[in-house]
Amino acid sequence: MVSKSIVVFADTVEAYEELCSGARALDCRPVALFAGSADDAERVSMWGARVVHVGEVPEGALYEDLASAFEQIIRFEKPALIMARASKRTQCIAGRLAVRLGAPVVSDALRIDLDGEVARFVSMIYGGAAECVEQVSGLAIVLVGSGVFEAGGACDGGMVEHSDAALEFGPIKLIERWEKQEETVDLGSAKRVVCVGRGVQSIGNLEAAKEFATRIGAEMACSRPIVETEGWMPRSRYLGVSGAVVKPDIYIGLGVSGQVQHTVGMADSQFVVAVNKDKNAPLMHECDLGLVADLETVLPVLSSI
Amino acid sequence: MNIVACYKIVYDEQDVVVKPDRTLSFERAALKIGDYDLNAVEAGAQLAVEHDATLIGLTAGGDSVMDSKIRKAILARGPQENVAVRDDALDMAGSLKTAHVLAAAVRNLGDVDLILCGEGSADRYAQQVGIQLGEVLGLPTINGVTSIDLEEGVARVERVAGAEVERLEIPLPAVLSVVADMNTPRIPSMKDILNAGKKPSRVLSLDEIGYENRDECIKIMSVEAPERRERTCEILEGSDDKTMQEFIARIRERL
Repeated sequence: MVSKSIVVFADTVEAYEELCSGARALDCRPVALFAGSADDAERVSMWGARVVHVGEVPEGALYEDLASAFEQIIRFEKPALIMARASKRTQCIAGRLAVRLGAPVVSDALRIDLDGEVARFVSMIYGGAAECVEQVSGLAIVLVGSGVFEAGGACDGGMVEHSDAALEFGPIKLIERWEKQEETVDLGSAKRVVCVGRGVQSIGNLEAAKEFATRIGAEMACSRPIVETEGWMPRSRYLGVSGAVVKPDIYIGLGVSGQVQHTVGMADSQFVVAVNKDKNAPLMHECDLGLVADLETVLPVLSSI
Repeated sequence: MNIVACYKIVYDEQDVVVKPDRTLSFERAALKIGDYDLNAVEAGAQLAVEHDATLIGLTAGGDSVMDSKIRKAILARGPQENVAVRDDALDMAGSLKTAHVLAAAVRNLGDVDLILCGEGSADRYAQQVGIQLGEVLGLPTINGVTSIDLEEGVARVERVAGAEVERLEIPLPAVLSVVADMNTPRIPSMKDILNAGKKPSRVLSLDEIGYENRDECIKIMSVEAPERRERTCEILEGSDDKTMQEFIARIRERL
C-alpha cells in the first residue's frame, strides 16, 4: 500500500526538522510546502521531505499571502493531514485554509494519532487545567509547538520540486518590517532548564539565576508573567499554554508557583526541582525535590555548584 | 462608522473543580467575559470615541448569553449595543463553526467597517476565530495586532509576529485580532454599570441570522484533567548551611 502523506509547513527553516520526523512517526511521508531560498529548500529536503518549493515570498508581500498557493498544492496532494509549526503567521494561513478546505484547525496539539481515516488530537484547554481529546474524520489542520516531536536529523528520500502555484499579493500592504530587539530561542530540545517565576522578585535575582544557568549549561526559561507583566525576558522563553514545551532531564524552578498554565509546558521533565519560600506553592506538590527557602539565600549557594 | 468587538462568555477557570475521575465540574464556576476579548472590547471602545463611531459587542453562546450580569459588564465597557447569538451547541463549538456563526451575525448587522477579536478565547485558546471570521466574510484579516490607527478607508496597524514587528496598511472593512498586551481593559465604574442597563441588547437565534446548521467535522471525545506524573516530592525546608549543602548535593547528582 502506498503510504499516505502529511503536508507540513512552517515560517522558519529549522522547524521543518521536527515536522518531518513527526510525519514519519505517524507513518506518513512528509511533503514540505516551503517558501524561501533554494539553499534552504535543499536543507529541508535533507530531513527527508519531498519539498514543494513555491519560491520566495515577493518583496512587500507577507508570508500569510501564501495561503492561496498552499491551498492549490494541498488540493492536488490530497494529504491525510496538514501539520504546521504554531506561530502567528502559520495561524493565519491555517485559519484561511480551514475555511477554504472546510477542514478544522487544532491548535497547540500535544499528541496526535492517525488511525485509518480518523485523526485524534490532544490539546490543553481551560488554561492547562484540562486535556481535550478531539477527533476528526477527514482532513484536519494541526498546529504544533516546538518540542512536540523529536528532531530526527538527516534522512534519506528527500527531494526538491518547484511549484508553479501563483504567489499572490493579498489586500494587506506591508509598509515596513523590523526585528524586535529581542532574542528568539527554541527551548524544545533543552536538556537542562532553569526557570524563573514571579517569586524571583528582582532583576538582581534574575541575573543570579542566569549566571547559575550558564554555569550548569542550562537554558533559561520563565513563566508568562515574567514576559507579559514584568517584561524581563523574551516571549520565546516562557513555558506553558501558548508558550514553549520542554522535556529536560532536569528542570529547576526558582520562584515558580506552578499554576497549570505553566506546568503544561514542563510536566514531562525527568526531574523537577522547586525552590520557593511558599511551601504551599502548587509546584511543591509536583516536584521531585523541593526547597522551601528565600531565593536571596539560595541563589548565592547555587552559583557555587 | 461601525465597529464590532467579538467576545466569548466562558466559565472562570479558577472556579473549575477537578473531580476524582478527572472530569471537570463547572457547577460553582462563575461566568466571565474572556480575558483576551476584553482587549478587543477596549480597543473598540477607544477607537469608537476617537472616531465618533458606534461600537457593537457581539457574542455567540448557549444560555450564558442571557446572563444579565455579563450583559451589563460588556455594555459598561463601551459598546452602545450588545448582540448575542444563542444556541446550545455554541458553547463548545469549534472555531470553524463559531466563525461561520459570527459571520452570519455580522452580515445581519449591516454596514460594518471594523471587526475586532481577542487573541484567543479564554477557555479553548485556539486563536483561530478572528482569522477564520475574516476569511468567511472575504475580508482582509490579520492577527498579532498591537496598535490601530483608522484613516479614511484604511487601518494602519502595527503587528508582532514572532521576533518581527510589521507596519501594515489594511483596507477597511477588515477583521483584526489584537494581542493581550495591546491595552489595559478598563474597570467599569458604578455609573457605567448603571448606564449599561439602559443600553439595547438583542438575542438572536441561528435562524434569525440566517445560519444554516451544519454538522461539525470535529468532535470532542473527552475533557479531563491531565494525568499527573508520579513525583517523589522530597521537600527540604530552611536556609541553614546543612539544608543548603544537602540540597546542592542532591542537584549535583542530577547534573
